[in-house]
Amino acid sequence: MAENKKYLQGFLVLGLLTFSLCKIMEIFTGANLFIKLIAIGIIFSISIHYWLLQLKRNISYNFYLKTILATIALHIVLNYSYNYFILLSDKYFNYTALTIQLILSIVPASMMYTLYLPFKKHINNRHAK
Amino acid sequence: MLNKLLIGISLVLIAVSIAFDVNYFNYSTPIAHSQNSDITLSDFRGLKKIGQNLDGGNEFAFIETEIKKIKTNSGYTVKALFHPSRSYVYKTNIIGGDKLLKHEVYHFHITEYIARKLRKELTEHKKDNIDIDNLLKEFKALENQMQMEYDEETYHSYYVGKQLSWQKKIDSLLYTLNEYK
Repeated sequence: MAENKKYLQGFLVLGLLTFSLCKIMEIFTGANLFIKLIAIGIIFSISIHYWLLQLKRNISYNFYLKTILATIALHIVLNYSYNYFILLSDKYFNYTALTIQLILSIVPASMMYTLYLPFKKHINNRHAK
Repeated sequence: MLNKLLIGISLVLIAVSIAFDVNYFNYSTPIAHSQNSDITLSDFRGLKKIGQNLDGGNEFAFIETEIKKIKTNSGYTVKALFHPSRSYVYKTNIIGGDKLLKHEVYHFHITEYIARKLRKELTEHKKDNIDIDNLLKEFKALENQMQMEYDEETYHSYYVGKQLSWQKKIDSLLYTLNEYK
């Protein structure tokens, strides 16, 4: 049971990773659906192969076929949700743009603070001596 | 730990890809057709996908328009919208940019023409129980076909004569449906 849960988790995570890789691939190559489907199959099979090796389970041809079909189904669901989100995006992007600007202003501040930390430690140490 | 890392990587990659569909770093809300005269090339704020080109060339523009249904107290109405953050131009200060802008704006006029046709249909069949989603789908297909014909015949504004005749055609089509503005 625990192993099944672990397997399902792995499948979903790798599915999400495959989808995001495909989206990035689309940006760089403008790949068509057929090439994308093949790429999904290959990326996912390799990923699931390594995943299953970690779980020490046997991998049959039938299992591969099932995982590839399941990946395509998962990809369709993710793609549909993605497109739906883009369609609805105008409702949210005003807030998203604001949030991003806020994050972008926080990042340099936190980086400065992180850079400052070793100095602070160093100064404290000097005082301790 | 590995799961969290992979989910993190995926979410970052998806966030990057969304920016190429809707440039949320330089976002602007959709513009209605009633404000079409205010549109300039600097309103084209979207990003081009890296591998995207027009017959091998990189100097092009594209406009993203939409017919959107809006629920009102008395039923539904439709609006033609231009999405600045999803539309792209290779450079905003182009010599002879007016020609390119005109071509793109006429794509928006086509969307408005189809929206007016749909408004007419909705007004005429107000009392009938019509399936608006199906109708919208049908009209969107019609719009796509007209947009494609426009691009093919004018070759993206390259054929000046054809471009002018399409402009005349679209203007008169819009005029015929002026009461459904």
